[in-house]
Amino acid sequence: MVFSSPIFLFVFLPLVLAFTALPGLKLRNFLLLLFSLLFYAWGEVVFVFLMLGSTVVNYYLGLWVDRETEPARRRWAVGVAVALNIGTLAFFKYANFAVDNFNAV
Amino acid sequence: MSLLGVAPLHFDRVRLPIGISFFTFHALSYVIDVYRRKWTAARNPCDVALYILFLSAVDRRADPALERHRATTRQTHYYPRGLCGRGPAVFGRVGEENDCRQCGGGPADQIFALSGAELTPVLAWFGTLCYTGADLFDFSGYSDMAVGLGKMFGFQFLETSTSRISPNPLRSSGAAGTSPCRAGSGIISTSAGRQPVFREAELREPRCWSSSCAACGTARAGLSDLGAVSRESSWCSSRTRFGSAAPGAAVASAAARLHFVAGDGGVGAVPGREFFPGSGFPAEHGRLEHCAALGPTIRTLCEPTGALVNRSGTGFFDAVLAVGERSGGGESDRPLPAWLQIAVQASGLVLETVVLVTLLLVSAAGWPEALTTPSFTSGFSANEPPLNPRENPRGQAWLVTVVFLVFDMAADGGLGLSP
Repeated sequence: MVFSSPIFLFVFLPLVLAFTALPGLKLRNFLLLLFSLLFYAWGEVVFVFLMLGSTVVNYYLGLWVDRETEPARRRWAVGVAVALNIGTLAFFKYANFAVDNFNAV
Repeated sequence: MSLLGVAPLHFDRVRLPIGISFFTFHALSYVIDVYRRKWTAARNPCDVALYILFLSAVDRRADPALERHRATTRQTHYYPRGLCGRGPAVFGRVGEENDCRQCGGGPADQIFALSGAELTPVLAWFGTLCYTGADLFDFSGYSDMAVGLGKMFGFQFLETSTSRISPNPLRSSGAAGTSPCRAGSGIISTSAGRQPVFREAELREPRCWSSSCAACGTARAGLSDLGAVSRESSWCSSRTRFGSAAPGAAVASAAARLHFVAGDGGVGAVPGREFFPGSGFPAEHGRLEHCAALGPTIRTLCEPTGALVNRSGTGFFDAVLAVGERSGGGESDRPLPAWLQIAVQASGLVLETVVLVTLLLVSAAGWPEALTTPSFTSGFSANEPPLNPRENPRGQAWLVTVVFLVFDMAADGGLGLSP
């Protein structure tokens, strides 16, 4: 879904605004999260799981970094986080490129 | 490789998930901010998920850092929105479906596809211009949409480039050119001698405060920590803001002021743990060296007034706001006159509209004959608009214009959409 698409502007956005504006709503953030996932899943259902997985991993990485008090260990933890995230990104961005080049050579 | 007898790799093509750069870096920003102690790790995974995935990269351009660097959002309005280069600070192109790009991207692509023989200097320059416009509206448009959308839901997104002009806490506190320990610097001097109002809650760590006063000699060295401290204090505001949308509005604006006050000299920064009981503010933030970093201000507050505690029952945020108001916020926070703000905003909006509509009309309505070549027009005929709206540049273009302006105004609070 794109912001400038009619479905977002005239269906999705009003719906989300209406839902989240309900008074006394305890789960506002959770609802927003669900709608966000729907928003993303509109185009790519499969990758929603990738995003959720990334979120879960980073949630625990955050807890880990937070728990460590020793600077060296904190750096190690945040290093793991950077490596994991950038690794994922690099895979999706450059796997094709790498294989193509390998085969071309 | 075949010469070496290595078989070519067989490999299913990897599809690029839309927005992967965005949410990867966004997730990283969360962990790294935990590392830098800008906030503590969220206990609720939903909070993390919402931070990373809110409207799936609602903000593909700006950094939803929840206002953590900025005191107020007022400075934003001194500049014509969208033209002040907010976008270029952020890179990362996402997906192939950036509608904003079509404003100028279509003609640019066509012009760049021409062969050297067909390309005239005028056309080349025009293509460059179109490409520039496409980039501008791509970045800026999405930023505006994101900021506007965020406001609709009660979140304030940081605008990357404007954050650079926020008051520098170190510079503003040292602006007097005097020793930081001297009475009269910092908040007190700018509050025109009026006594700041604070509640007892701030003094719940007497060791911390008194040692700061005693540590005044080392305070100058400790000043380098001031920035970190003020960021930590704004962690509270971000937490408040992110945790609750609607009721957070008042608190959030107050918390933003809290950040400012903290940035301007540190009062109220460290004891954030006390002000937000149960918020999980890490204990080590109350350590002495951080407090020592706040020494000068604390000392200034200690010395001339002699009494920090006001038991009149003024609410904390009232107190902070009062100090914030009186301190005036340093030179960079002084608001422009209302008429000037409106004029600047309006001119920015008009300028954006004119540029945008011009690009759209040029790209959608066909080309001046002088610029065109037969091969050039063949793919882009104004006489036969395609029926498919996605391929109908004109319809698409106007839709994008309207959306862009609506969100732009929403981002400015002009539509009253923000809570």
